[in-house]
Amino acid sequence: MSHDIDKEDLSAYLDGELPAPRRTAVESHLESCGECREELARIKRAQTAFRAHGRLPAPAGLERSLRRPAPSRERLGFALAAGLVALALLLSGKAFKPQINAVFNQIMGMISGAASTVGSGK
Amino acid sequence: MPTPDELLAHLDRVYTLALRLAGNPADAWDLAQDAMLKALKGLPAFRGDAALDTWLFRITVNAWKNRNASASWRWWERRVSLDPLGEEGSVPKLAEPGPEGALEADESRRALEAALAALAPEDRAALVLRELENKSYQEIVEILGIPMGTVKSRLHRARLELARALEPRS
Repeated sequence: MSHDIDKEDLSAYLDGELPAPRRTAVESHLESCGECREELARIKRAQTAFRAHGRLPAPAGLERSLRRPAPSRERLGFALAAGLVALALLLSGKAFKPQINAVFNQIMGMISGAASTVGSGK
Repeated sequence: MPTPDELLAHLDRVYTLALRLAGNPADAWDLAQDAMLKALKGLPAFRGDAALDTWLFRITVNAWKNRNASASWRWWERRVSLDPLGEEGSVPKLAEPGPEGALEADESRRALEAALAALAPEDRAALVLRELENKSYQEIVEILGIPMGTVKSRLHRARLELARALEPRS
């Protein structure tokens, strides 16, 4: 059997995508060609099977993730400001640590001085 | 302008396309999420030149192409499973056939998935757009960004491969 049609036209025929003259050509070819009739039946079976099993629903968590509100600009700004304050406190604590130690040592010195004075009975 | 809810009503359809493009549920999740976030962001620019679903599918395909273009994505893709159903337990249930029917349906589904896994992602996408979404060839051209002749040949080849996989083994 000579194939005066393009085999891919069988899919386009099934999909109703052929212009009228080519559709007519495919139809008249199908009347005389068992091989192409069989191929058309096979692609129809594939179509039916894919339509039955091809679609899969999105996981529920995916929709939840898309509906979760993104953090607002205000919230982001607040978080940034709080972070900066915390950082500043941390850094200032480090900067003042020597002075705090010096004041502590001074107080301890005064206490021990007073204690020794009391102890000596002066 | 469509609302975000109207957009999210298409999520199952976007996910199905993403799953067939990416080839596995984990990457499909990322791809569908990426595409939907892009669409939600771009919603004010949607002019209605194309149908909303066509616009969404185009965004999904472009997001997939961008991911595919990155070397790290290609590296990752080579290492992940191509089984879109994932583990055995995650196979979605079919519409209540009898025990024999259930077995046959499950077998034919597995054969179909195996054949789909062997196809190129663009072939699977063309099948989704034609068989499930009923898109015209011209719309598929616009969504996938490939010539009309390629759409025709991809669809025909993909259907023949699926048909071969579904034929009873002699």
